[in-house]
Amino acid sequence: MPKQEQREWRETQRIKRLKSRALGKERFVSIEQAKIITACYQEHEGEPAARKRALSFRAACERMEIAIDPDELIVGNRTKESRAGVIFPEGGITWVAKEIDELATRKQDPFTVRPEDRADFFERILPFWTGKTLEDRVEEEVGEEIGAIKQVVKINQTDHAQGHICPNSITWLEKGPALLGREAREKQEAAQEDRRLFYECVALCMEGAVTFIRRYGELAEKMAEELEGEQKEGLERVARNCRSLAVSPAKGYHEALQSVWFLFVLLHLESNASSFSPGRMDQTLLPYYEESVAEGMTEEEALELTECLWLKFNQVVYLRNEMGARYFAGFPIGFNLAVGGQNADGTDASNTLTYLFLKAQSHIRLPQPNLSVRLHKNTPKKLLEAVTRVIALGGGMPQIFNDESIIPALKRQGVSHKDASDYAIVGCVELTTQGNNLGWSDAAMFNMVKALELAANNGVCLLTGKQVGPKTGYLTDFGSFAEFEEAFQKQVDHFIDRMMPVTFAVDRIHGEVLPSAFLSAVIDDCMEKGIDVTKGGAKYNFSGIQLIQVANIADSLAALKKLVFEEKRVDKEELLEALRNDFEGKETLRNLLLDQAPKYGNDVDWVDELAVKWHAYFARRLEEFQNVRGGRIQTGLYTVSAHVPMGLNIGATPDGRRALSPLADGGVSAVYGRDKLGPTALLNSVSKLHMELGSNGTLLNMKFLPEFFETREGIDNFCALLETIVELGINHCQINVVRREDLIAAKKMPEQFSGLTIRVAGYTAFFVELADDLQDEIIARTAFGGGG
Amino acid sequence: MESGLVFDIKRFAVHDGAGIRTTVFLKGCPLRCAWCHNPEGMVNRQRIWQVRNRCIGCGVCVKACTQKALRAEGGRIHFDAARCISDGGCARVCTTGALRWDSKRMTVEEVMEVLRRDRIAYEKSGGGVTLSGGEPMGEQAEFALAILAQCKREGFRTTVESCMFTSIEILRRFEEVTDQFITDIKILDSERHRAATGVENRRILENIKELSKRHSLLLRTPMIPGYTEDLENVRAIGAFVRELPGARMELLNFNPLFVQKYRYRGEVPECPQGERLTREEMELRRGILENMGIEVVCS
Repeated sequence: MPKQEQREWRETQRIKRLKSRALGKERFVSIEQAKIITACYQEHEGEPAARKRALSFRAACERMEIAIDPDELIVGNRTKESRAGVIFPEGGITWVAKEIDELATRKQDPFTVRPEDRADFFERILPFWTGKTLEDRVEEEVGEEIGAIKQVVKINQTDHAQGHICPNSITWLEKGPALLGREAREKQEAAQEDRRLFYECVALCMEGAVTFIRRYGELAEKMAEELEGEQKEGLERVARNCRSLAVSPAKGYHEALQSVWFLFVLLHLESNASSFSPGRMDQTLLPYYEESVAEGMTEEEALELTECLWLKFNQVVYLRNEMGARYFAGFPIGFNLAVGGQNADGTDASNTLTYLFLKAQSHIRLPQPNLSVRLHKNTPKKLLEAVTRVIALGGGMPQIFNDESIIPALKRQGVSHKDASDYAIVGCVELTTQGNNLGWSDAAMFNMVKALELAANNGVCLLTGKQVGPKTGYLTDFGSFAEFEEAFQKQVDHFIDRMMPVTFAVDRIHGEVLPSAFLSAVIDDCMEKGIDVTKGGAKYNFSGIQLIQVANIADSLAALKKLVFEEKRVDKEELLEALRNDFEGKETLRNLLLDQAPKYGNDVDWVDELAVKWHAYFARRLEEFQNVRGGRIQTGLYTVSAHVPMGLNIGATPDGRRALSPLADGGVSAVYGRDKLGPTALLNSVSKLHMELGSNGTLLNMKFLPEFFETREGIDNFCALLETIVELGINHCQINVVRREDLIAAKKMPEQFSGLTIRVAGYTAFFVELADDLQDEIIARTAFGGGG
Repeated sequence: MESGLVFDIKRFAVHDGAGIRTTVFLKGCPLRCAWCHNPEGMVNRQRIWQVRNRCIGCGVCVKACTQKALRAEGGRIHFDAARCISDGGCARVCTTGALRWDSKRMTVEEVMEVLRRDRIAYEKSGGGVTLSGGEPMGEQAEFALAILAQCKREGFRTTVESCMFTSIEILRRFEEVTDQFITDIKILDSERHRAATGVENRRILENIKELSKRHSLLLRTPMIPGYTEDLENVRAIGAFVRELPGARMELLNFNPLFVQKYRYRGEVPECPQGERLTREEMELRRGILENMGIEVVCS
């Protein structure tokens, strides 16, 4: 990056101080809110769940300890200590009781538990909640069935609130909690009997919100008295903002950022759920930004304020159970912020804030916000280049989303053109409309590779020897590839038909146990209808199921089709035996399967079509169902980190994959290193999938070497590649810049990186096919440091 | 249908001309550069390669070899390329791709089928198709011309990377179907050129001059220690290039990685394995050329 730009982009001293304190502290478990909620439920035993929830939310707003860092310009957190793991009894604590002593030492996302909190948990919290939580209710109603299908289907949202929702920030900014509360009271007066409780709960929540915001104002004022200079001045501004926001709509950029952050803190306080998404914040906040600029705010000031919010996004983490932490490693909390994109009339929507947010991202470069950019065929070159330069810094952000394929996909699901054009992202890659949609995007994950294993082995699990699926015959029984596919289809059908009722039951229990009045106030149509969002109050009501994993399905089916049934180079009996024994003593056979059958990701049409066929089959089957909120079922093709634990559940597969090893990462990516013809070939393979049948979200990971971005031509070519992705109609792509550590890993685990290419003057070689000394030479020259 | 020996088709090629390209590498080069980075491109026939990192030592190839060129020892397979007659017996049985052909016979249509796949990326990036080698204007010139002609019919922009050791007639025919030429210019002194590459450079320099009357050329000089990187050669090349209208130069730093492909045949390159030039050394040479008024890029 040119030196001049570096100077222009440097963060302020305040930001540097805040950033140095933002992370790196020990994370603790917090039971403060659990105690408040428990007390509230005890006091109001016998009252409806919605009322108890609203009262305990209000109580938390009034009583939770709060803190402000003297350098902060944006304040607020759900706990006094940042990055605490909040125990939230209404969702589930049976798992906490089982795992509490391992929380500090578990491999993924550990939290320290203070001894006094541990004691309180067992004495005061656990006994009251046993049998009352979401987790317990789900276990009671469908626990047995969840266990019976768990090898193929992982049912989610069983011990915590759903989240994965993009609230209507505009409603919140324009009304604020005081006015929303007044509206709720008015509606309560006018409403029919059966709707009054809902409005009362919203009003109670808004009372809490007003208090919460006001308390921050008071604390800031008090702290400012003791401080001097920049910090004093800063906290005085904070105090003014909070006092104003408690009673009035947001005015100007600083207040708007603060208001948005309070909204998200309060949402977490209410639900303790993963992923509340700010959505298209460059659109939402533009009027506030312009208002402040007109009053003299400089771009540098705006950038510093934005970066203060960026840091706040990293101070809320999410405590998951051990298995959940493995499936969703690194506590992704999913403040997914989407910039760019188009207006409903198809014109480009990017603005000054789009670029300002990209600048903030290039400075802060922490896991949150999960920054996304929406591209389309009229995205200006200038934005493509700005996006490319941030991607080049590493860290995989911003992720790329494609309006050209996503808008039609959402419209196909019954979303209006206007709402589809205004889509945003929740969680990692899940697609949503803004401010009006309970997408329930992670209802379950369907391990189709496991179903394929069962299809080869008469429904018997290769790992446990137990009959888990229907008896559809052994590989040796099938005379043709078509017969095998028929058995596969029966396994898939069997588990779809058992999965869907369970997801519906879980969805319904959420409505009964975890009504969320505060959230409902910022989701369109809930206030109009007087119905809680968890009970179907939102304008749109979807459920999403993830299909895992098309690359492994295609590769396994391709090997069977070509080597077993067509060329007969592999004997069915020998293969089945080898699968049962995890290829022990059959290394030659395994390599034959790996090397002699083409793989998904190399633009080989007949192989890619296998992925297309089974994805489409699955998605169309799901569309036969309707969820309890009256919505449609969408298919997603993404795993987050689930490709590792899902793989641990699967025996050896006909593509040469060993038992227990990971599946392809991402969702539509090729299996690690099996795509050998470069990015355009991979993109072509992916683009053959029916993207409109992936409207819950798709995930493609790609890797580039840092040297690619070092020249003008490299930047231009990358921009062209982004345009290619748009034209090919691929929903999503995330680009990782390979670091030195990756190359060291590639040397140790060549099979996972065999697609990684490296330029030698005059030609390009596969990194893993280079000899040790040459690999070391490349590692030595790939020093990918901080940049920026 | 015209067919030929293709030793690689590289999709997403970004160093062989403008934009995102697909580069087709054709066998058969009239030069024998001591530092050749694509040694499999020299001879116009298929040969066997052993990629050792891929070998699992299963030994099925040893039985398949009629010439005793393969031998199992200590869990690894040793390949004696001198005995190998490249009849392909081993490649047929190898399950990992460790033993493989260094090239593939393809028809023009088969090549086109691959080239068409990245049409969108070519359009978005201003890229297209590049023919390289080996040598596209060498023994397989007719095959190359057939591919280029078909590319033009289908609207692809074409680039040819050549050493320019070819006849004026062939050159004219390439001009009709080629948008951009990239040529090597290695050593200006003809005797030194002959010693390093096996041929004199008179014809090469004439072709470059002729071509530059109608084309803005990109001329590439590899910086090979002991062969091409001396300042005398760089200045002489500069003096030659300065007279060519619109010509640009690219200096390619020596890259020790190039020995890899020789290892696939159990060979070592003729040229001593030296060090890359330092950044300062590259800048010095670039400066000399730029002071002569030549536009230069380094890589």
